[in-house]
Amino acid sequence: MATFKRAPVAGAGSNRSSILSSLKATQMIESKPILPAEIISTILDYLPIPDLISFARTSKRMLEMVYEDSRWVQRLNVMGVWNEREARKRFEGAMRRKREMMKMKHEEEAKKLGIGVNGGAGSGAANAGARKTSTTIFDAGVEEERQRRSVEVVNKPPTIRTSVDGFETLTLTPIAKPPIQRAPMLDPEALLNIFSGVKSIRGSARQEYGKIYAALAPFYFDLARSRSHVDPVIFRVYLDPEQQAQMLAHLTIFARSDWAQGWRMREERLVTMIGVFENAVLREFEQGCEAWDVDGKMRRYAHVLGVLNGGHAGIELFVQKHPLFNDRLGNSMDCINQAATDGIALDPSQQFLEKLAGKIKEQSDVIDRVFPKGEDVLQSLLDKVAEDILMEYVTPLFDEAHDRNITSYLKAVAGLFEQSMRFGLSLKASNNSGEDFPAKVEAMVARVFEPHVDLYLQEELDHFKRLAEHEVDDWEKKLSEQEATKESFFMGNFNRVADKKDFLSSFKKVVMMPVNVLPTAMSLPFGAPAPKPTIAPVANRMSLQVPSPLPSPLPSRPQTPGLGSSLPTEAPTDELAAKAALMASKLEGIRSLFSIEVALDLTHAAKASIERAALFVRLGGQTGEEAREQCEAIFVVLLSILGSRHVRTGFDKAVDHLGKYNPREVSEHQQGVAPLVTFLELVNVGDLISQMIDVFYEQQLAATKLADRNDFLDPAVKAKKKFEQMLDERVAAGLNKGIDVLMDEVEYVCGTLQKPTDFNPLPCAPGKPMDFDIGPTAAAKQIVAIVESHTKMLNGSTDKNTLDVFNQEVGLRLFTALCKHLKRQRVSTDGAIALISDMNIYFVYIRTLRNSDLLEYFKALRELSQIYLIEAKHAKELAEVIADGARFGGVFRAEEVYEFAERRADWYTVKRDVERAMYGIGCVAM
Amino acid sequence: MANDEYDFLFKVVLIGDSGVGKSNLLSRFTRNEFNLDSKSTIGVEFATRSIQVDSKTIKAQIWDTAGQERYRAITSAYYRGAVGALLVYDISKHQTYENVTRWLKELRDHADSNIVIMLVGNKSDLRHLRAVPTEEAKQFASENNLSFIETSALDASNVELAFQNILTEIYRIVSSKALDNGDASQANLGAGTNITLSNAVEEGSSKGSKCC
Repeated sequence: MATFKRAPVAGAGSNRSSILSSLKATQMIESKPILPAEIISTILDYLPIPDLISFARTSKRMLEMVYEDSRWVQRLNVMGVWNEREARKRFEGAMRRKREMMKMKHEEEAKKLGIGVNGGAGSGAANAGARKTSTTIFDAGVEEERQRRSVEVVNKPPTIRTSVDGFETLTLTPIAKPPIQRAPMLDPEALLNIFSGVKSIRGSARQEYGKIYAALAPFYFDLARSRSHVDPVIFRVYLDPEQQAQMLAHLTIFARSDWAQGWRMREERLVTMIGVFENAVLREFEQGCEAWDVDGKMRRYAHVLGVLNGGHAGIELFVQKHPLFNDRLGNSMDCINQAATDGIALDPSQQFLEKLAGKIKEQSDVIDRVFPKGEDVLQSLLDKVAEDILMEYVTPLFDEAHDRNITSYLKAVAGLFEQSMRFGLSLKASNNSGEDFPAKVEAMVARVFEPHVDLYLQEELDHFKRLAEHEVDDWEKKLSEQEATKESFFMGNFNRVADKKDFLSSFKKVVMMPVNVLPTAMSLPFGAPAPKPTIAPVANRMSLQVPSPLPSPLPSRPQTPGLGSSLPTEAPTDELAAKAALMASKLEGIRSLFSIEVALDLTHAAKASIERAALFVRLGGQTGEEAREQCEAIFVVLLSILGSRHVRTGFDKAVDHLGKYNPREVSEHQQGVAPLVTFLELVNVGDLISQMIDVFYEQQLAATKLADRNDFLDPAVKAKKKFEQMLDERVAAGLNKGIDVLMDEVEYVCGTLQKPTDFNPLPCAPGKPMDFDIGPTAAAKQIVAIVESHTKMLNGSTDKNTLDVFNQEVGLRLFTALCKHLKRQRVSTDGAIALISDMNIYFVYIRTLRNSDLLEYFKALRELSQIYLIEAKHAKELAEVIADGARFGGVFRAEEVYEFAERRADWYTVKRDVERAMYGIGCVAM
Repeated sequence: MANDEYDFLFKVVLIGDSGVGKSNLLSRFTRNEFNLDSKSTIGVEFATRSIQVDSKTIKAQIWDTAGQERYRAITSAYYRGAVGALLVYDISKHQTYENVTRWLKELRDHADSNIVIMLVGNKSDLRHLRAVPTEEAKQFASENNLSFIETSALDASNVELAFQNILTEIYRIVSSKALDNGDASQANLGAGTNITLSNAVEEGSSKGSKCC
């Protein structure tokens, strides 16, 4: 547009001299009184069919325009009877033939005309157009004729004709086509199926539409004109309500293709007519309903309604007036009233839902009998059931439970949800229910619970947090009461690895037990006679458990072993609890630090909470996601309480004990350094707890897809990592201290147990048998025993790298301690045998650590100890050995070996020779 | 070991090239163990075992030495006070057999001249790899006045017998010598008593085993 405007301005600018020149240049365009083809085409759309046909008769061009296929396809499309795919298939077949024909035609024409392509093309098109008209089946004349005929059949004066009449003479094709051919079309019975005969053919959409028009237009226009509901022809032609409904449905469809002037009025009329008809049918249906005449009136009129417009009105009526909603199936307060104090009984709700399921099953049959295919009546009924019955039942129960007791509230929500879900699953789909019936039912149940989920999840988390904190506090309180009594620890030297494995396997068994929040009766199909709950509330404590025996959530403490035994499902829990108690008794020593039982109780509580909350994950969508997050949150809380509140303090205390240890103050030395043993036991238990958490995570969160194992940003994974890291850090910190303590002990043993005669036996009197004792000395044996018992304790209980570092450090420190110790001894050639034996048992021990670097040090010690074996007369060679650095694998330098050599008992006798030899070797000048 | 009773205490050394199986012979004899992937011995290892000969308890103190020890000063310490030596070679490695003469020379140089030497062809289980014929070794042994046996520490064949034989032989010599000397007390290795081995080729006891 912009360029358009600018052009004349530019022109004006260049020819400023003569203003008029531009005016002269402009041409007056005469507007012809002809509308452009596009507008005509658009107008045509709004013409009533008869006018349209009449219009076609005015000229060939108009005919072409009217007959244009897309115009008719559009109408068919609007009615939903045009199948584009089918049309395309047909069209493609036809195209090939057509192309051949076109080619032939062109050749023919070219031959005929023999001149300019331009003129040839034009006349060719005209020719084609002419031919087309002659080949059409549905053309104006025939259409009109058909209309007339059909109107006549229904004994109605053909009012439409008048408008067409005037043009009748102008028909290009003879109207004299025998109308008898159309006769089958006019059979009222056949008309009922008019739409099923429609074919989608490109190029003949007009004919197809014509057929439909011929069949339905008379009824339609008649209806539009009629004043009252008795008037229309349609009710006279068809007497069966089914047929009437069918026809009315057809007309509704047909009305969509009517957009000529006055369509709104006509459609309104049609709608009111249908409304009147529908009301009448509904009344009949309602009467049927009241009489509960399932196979008679109800069925018949439900089908009529279905044919008419899908039968929504009937379904609504059925659902609204359904007797189901008048029954009182149960009172939700029973759940609270029947349970003992503060408890909640889910049996009444169970019975209630069973009853409801039974009723709905009955109704499902009824619905199948009454309603035609197509409409999911059961679904509508269920929606109402959910809203009016389930919601009414559940909401007050939850509110009441929430007010009374949080624990029972949590159980009620989770339990009822589970029950409802099962209730939903127990429902049988009716014939009309789609594939997604279960999903729909689930969504329905979800809707009922949705308003409660948020509060529930929050409460669940809070409840768990409170419970966990209470547990830990309780334990700490108990501990501080005991604290004063004694601090006796000593481990029973039990088989740690086997015990741990045993404990973990039963832990796994418990964790893996199927989620069973409901009484076992629930798992039976609803129809089956539910076995009477065998367990009746007996004791106060039991009542909490019995109504919904959450098998593991309530860990029966080892102190009360008889409790769970009445419930067979609790057996593994008991087993576990017993093992925990056993474990705890073996770990007497760390009782004051932290308790594996507390850890177990906490995980049990977490398991219960997570299992309950996890039920809601099934809801999917946002609620499901929230439930999932809440599960993770519970896990995180578990870890943070267990980790920072319980385990960490225990470790800190143990490390503190370690720091205070002084071997010289301990009166009685046993096979272990007490605080170190305690600490190492702690590491074991810490590892056990960590493994427990790991199993728990795998089973409860990862296996159930509550948490993604691979998502490192997942809060549960992060919390778990943090927990493990915390544990590792504490272990590392403790080990550092532990090594110090261990070495203190080693040095203490060296100082106290090693006799001066060990390596320097008194020269035996001649002739007197010498006590030729070969083998390690008592001190060496003790040292190895101490170190070994401590390093062994760590095996498998901490991460391998930590262990390696620990072992390496222990080895190195032991080596240093031994060197230091050796330098305090005096060794004779006789004593060398004992020394070598000592070194050999250190070496054997170090070999068990499988650390090759460390082994080098002890190899060097073995080699070193041989210098004491050399007799004084070989002093020269002794010097050589001392100087032989390769012999000691680089561990000792010559100066160091020399220092050791000074510890020979006969050093002062050989010193001169050795020194001479040594410096002699080093200095050529000498 | 001071507490268990014995009538005689003999020190026996295991010598021979590195890798012929000295340590496994020892462990087989003293602990009935065999270690397939044993590393070469560092320095020396000791083990003891008592056996009965003529209702006398003989305690053998066996020194398992490193085959690759280079220092005379150290090897001679090994031999000091030894009354028996098991000179071990590997029947599947001819070189170890060839080195036997060198070991013999070392024994003559450092050990008591009356020391009882037994030539032991170890690894007799490796029949298919045999490089030293039994007869040849036997011939060599008799020429040098050595006893001879083939053993296998792996399948334990003849191990017991080898030690039994050498200890019995030592016992016979020692007890006859003790009788000769009229010394009723125990033969003691370290007690400074001269032990003359009567059937030894060399005449008389040249060196007394000093207190080690």
